[in-house]
Amino acid sequence: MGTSLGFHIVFACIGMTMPWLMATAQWYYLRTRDPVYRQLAQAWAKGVAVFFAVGAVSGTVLSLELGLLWPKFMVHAGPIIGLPFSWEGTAFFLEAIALGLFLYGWKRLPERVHFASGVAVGVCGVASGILVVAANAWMNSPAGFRWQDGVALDVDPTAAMFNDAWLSQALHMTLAAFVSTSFAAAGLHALRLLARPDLAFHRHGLRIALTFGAVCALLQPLSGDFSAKDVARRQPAKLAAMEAHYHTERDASLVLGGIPDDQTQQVRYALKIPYALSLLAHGDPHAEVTGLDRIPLDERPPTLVCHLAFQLMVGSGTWLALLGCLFLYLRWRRPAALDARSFLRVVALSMPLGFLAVEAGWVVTEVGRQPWIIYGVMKTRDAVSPMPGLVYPLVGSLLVYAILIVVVWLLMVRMVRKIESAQPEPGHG
Amino acid sequence: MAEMLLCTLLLAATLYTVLGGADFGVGIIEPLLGSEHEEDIQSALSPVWEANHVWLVLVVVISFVGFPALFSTVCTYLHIPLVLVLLGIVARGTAFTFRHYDPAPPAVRSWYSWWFRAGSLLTPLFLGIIVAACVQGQLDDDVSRGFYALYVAPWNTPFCWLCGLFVCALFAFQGAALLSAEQARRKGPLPFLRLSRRLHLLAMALGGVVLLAGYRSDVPWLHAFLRHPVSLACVVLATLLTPLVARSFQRGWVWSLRITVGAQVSCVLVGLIAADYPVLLHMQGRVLTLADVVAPPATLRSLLVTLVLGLILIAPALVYLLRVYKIPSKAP
Repeated sequence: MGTSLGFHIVFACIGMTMPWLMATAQWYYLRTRDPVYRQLAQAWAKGVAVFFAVGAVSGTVLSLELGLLWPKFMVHAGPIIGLPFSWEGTAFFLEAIALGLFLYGWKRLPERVHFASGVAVGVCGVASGILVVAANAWMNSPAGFRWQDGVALDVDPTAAMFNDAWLSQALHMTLAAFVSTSFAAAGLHALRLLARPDLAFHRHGLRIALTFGAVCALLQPLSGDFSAKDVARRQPAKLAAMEAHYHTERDASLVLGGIPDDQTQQVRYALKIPYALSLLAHGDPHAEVTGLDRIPLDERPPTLVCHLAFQLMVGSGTWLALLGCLFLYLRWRRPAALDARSFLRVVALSMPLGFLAVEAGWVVTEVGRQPWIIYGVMKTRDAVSPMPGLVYPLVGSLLVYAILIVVVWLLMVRMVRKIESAQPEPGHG
Repeated sequence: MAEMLLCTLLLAATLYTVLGGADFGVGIIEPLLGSEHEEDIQSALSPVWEANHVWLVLVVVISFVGFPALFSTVCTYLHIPLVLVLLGIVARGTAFTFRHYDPAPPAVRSWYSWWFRAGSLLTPLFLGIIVAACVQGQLDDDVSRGFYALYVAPWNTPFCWLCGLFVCALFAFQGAALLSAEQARRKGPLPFLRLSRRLHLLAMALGGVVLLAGYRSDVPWLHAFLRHPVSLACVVLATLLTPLVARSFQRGWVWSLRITVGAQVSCVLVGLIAADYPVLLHMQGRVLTLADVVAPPATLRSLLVTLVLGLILIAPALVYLLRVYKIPSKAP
């Protein structure tokens, strides 16, 4: 399950964001009639098609895998969190229709309808992302039912959907999708610009993608802060694990980096910033922050994994936000510097960081909830399928996903090459 | 309310069998056609297959939201065939898309093609097996009986395999019909019509064999099926529709063909459910009835509201999509 989700999340992010890039390029084309923008929109549309197909099938796998792996979880959770899933189905349906119209309607549809269908793909993509995250948020912040003797009573699906965590998680995840995909796309264009600095195609692509990425990367810390305060209130164990905060105390300091050791309850090689944790978690430098010592031993999440993943996420996010600042400044004051090789190299190197942050963030939210599958209600080990040998399908799906990633990568390489070979060579034409 | 939801579930399953089934069927018959038809296949499927696929997602969502106990039982004890269905879905969808977009050397393309065809066969085969295993009533939850008895034996029977083959033939026939429609729209002559007629005969013959096998291996459901008036009415209705199917063939009315086949499929499904209603799933020594598996009323209400609202949103968009791509129009 973990592997499938970790795989799907990447494709889902791309599916949420790429349509926006595509529609933006198409909008520029409609405004300027510059054929390069049209090529860009078409190229991105092909990317959307490929990723949408992979996302669609991996999403189907997920919806069934919930039952295949956690049948006992689904018996109780299905009726409670079904509402976001059924809306997600609707959004996904509309997205598939809109995408069909956009991809095959370049010549058949009026331009405006065609553009509108491109925007619709983006809107539906984001909507379905938010809905699925709402379902995940419910696992962190169960609502809309009363748990009595192992049965859920008084089920209220609407309350379950709009649980306490959904807004902060949905905001954080949507921005993360935009940041990661935009920087990955920008990185790809930067990489190709280093080889072919003459192609306007890649230059336009880089600018559109980086603008999206930069704006969202700058907004992300705000949403991160919102999320952190929310987690501190609702899931003190998760916060303590991700911050490697062992001892409950006032004036808690923020631990940067380091390797937490559960035995000694110390964090080695870390940098500590006094009062910062209290300030960040509760908005008051003297507030008390619950440490792992308040959490019963068998309800503590694995500290090492959470802490390292959290550091990785924040580190990558900060780096991308800084890079976004740099880009916006250069674009405003020194547009010429955007073509500098050093700048392109930095963008190219930052290509995987967004997705690294997404995966790390997902590890934080999922591992940080352990041992619970529904926080405070049901433990993961009580939900797992009774079938022996579950490890085989898991290894199998891992293998399939590994193959798919390699194939998609090779496919992208060939697609980029084909597009480039179709571009006019300046000085030769 | 539960009954309404059950009807919606059946409707979604029927639509998937007709619309999605045809898409899978195209993949099944592709090896029979030769590579010169690859373009036809591409243009027939690509704008619509994802939208068609969503009906399956709808089936899954309705069952885990509305009938969670049924969903979790099927998922637990039919884990293996379900995983194989998923494998087929993944292989088919990705290979099909990759083949279209990847400017790849021929060797890679032929890999994609075989991947696509194998996936197209795997999914209906195991879908049929799953339906048959649910009908057959040998699912068992007695843990002491070991892995094979619990997780393999209930679906590894001649009846189930035959049923899987029947679904493959049904899908293949629909795929051939879909291709005929596409051809008719563009070029006039109908080279796939003969193939689809043969596949239709094959599907009917296999259907007969399935009934026979079920009868001989004492599938309890089948006996109920043959006794219940509604089920019998469904069978009669489905049979009465057959001349219409034949006539649609003769005239090359592809939409009427698809609609009649859809009606036949829904007759079979309604007959299946009606035979033992309100029992939905037979297991070794016990049954799951509608009342056992249904979700709380608040959930059903919100699910139905969502489905209706969703339909209001989706229907115009879907009709527009099909009008743009699937209805004969004056070529520009």
